[in-house]
Amino acid sequence: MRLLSPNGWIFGLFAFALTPVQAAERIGTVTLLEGPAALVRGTTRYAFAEGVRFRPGDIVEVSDKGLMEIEFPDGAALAMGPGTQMLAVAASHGRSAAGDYYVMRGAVKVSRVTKSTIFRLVTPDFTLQPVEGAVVMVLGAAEGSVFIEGGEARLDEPASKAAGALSLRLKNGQFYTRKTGQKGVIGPRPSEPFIAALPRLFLDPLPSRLARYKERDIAPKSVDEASYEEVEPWLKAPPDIRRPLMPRFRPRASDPEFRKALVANLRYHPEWDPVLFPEKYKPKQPAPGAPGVPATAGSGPAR
Amino acid sequence: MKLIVKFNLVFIVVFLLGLAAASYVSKELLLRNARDEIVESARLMMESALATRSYTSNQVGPLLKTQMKYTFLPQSVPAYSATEVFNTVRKNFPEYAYKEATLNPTNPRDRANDWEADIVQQFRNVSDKAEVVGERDTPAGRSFYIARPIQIKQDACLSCHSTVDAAPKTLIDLYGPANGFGWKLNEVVGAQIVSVPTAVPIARANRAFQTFMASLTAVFAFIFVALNLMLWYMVIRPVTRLSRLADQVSQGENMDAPDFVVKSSDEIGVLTQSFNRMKKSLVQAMKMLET
Repeated sequence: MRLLSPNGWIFGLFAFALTPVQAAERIGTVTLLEGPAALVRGTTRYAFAEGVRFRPGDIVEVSDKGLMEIEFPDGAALAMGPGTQMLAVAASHGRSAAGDYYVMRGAVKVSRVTKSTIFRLVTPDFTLQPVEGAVVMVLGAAEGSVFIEGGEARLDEPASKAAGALSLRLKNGQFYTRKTGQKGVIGPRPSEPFIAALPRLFLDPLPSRLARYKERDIAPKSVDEASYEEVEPWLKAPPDIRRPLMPRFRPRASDPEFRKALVANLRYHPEWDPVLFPEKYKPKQPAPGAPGVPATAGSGPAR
Repeated sequence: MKLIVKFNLVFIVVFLLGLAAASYVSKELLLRNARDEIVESARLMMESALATRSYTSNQVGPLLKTQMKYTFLPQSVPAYSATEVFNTVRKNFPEYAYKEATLNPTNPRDRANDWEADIVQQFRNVSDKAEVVGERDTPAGRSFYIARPIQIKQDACLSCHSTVDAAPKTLIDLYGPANGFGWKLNEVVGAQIVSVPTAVPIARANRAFQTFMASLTAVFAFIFVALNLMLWYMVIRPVTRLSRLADQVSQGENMDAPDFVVKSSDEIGVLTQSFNRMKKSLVQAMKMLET
């Protein structure tokens, strides 16, 4: 079965993921946190802490020196390296770990994946679905790479100018890399730059610390309402990602600073135009005297 | 020959015999202890190497298993860790050496040189040979060595050393495909060799021997002087004075001399008292004869 292209299914999942019921559903627990990491939930910016439950719609930003691990009830784990930006698009159902995540940049390791786990990591260059075992992914500015540490994974490459859409099955030990706009290449082992980009934690099995947070639901500490700069990458993301975010951040348009920034960057997200300038989209009043328009008392002929 | 000369001659003969016997026994004992110490040190080093290998194999290796998928870490190889540990030891004890001498090693530093290859061949030729010990001359002096065979007893070893295709790719990246392959189960591929310098313990034993002999000689010299002084003051001098007076009295001279003062009750004191009584009796007898 061929996966839908990221641009196709994400849009649909968004509507599902961000419903109030789904938003309350827990899809994982932050069990390891080193350095600061920010969470944008709704329109509010929070500081992550160990024990915080992860929810669909959450935007994660790991600091440049930070590290974070999220564990799921079935034992699967997802770790994010320094500088990772990720959006939880969809939630899990039942005990098995599942979810769709849009990873904008950074390093991600998914571990302890079983056949019942359904993870999909969507990136601008490919969609990765670990089938079993552990996979590590690094997303740079113009290149994305995947190493199958153990087990196997499915990878879907969207069509580009260089080649058409492609579906691959990556086996244990294989290394896949794709430069933006080019065809992906599979190698027998990870490249040195790839290994150098990995945080040390990724080179070992991810630790399991879920037991210590199983009975504790720690609320993230609210910092402030998210500013435009803080969510700018997401508002300027590919259309299928940023468009579903518009209703979510719409209330922030009433903030003069946020609005000013939206207006200044409108060309990157034109879908905000009706929100910012609704008057432009109001039905126009036909000109008096136009055909079919009755003349007003003052202007019509005297009777 | 005077008494003191006789006494000293006997004393010196006894002293020399004692010194020679003590010298022979102590030297043999110290050298034997030194050799035992060398063997003990070598065995201790060998056991430490085996413990390091076992620790690496059972505890460090599994921890690095995932990392090995990214980069080959020689720290996970028992031979490497044992050698590294002893390289650290050698910073303080440069004369000591440990090597996992292998005929076809993955790491070139483990390649056996001529004399090491001979030892490995001994183990290969005699399958049940458990240990080889010996001594050899080195630029740093004579050295004692103890060697044990490296035999492939676990299939796990062959995952890196059977064929290039079966070996981890990260290992090939690091060491290349030329060496360290083609090993077989139960094959003796090398030998662990511990070398311990014999010069240091032997020199220590010689120093101990010299110190012991010097001390023994000093004790003998002290006893010699003390006994001579005692002999002079307690025996020779009073007997000489007594003999001179007895000589004079026997010739009828110095009959009025005062009695010897008796200060002790030992044999010399008893002799002096007897002489004083005899002199008194002789003086009285002489007087009776004159009247």
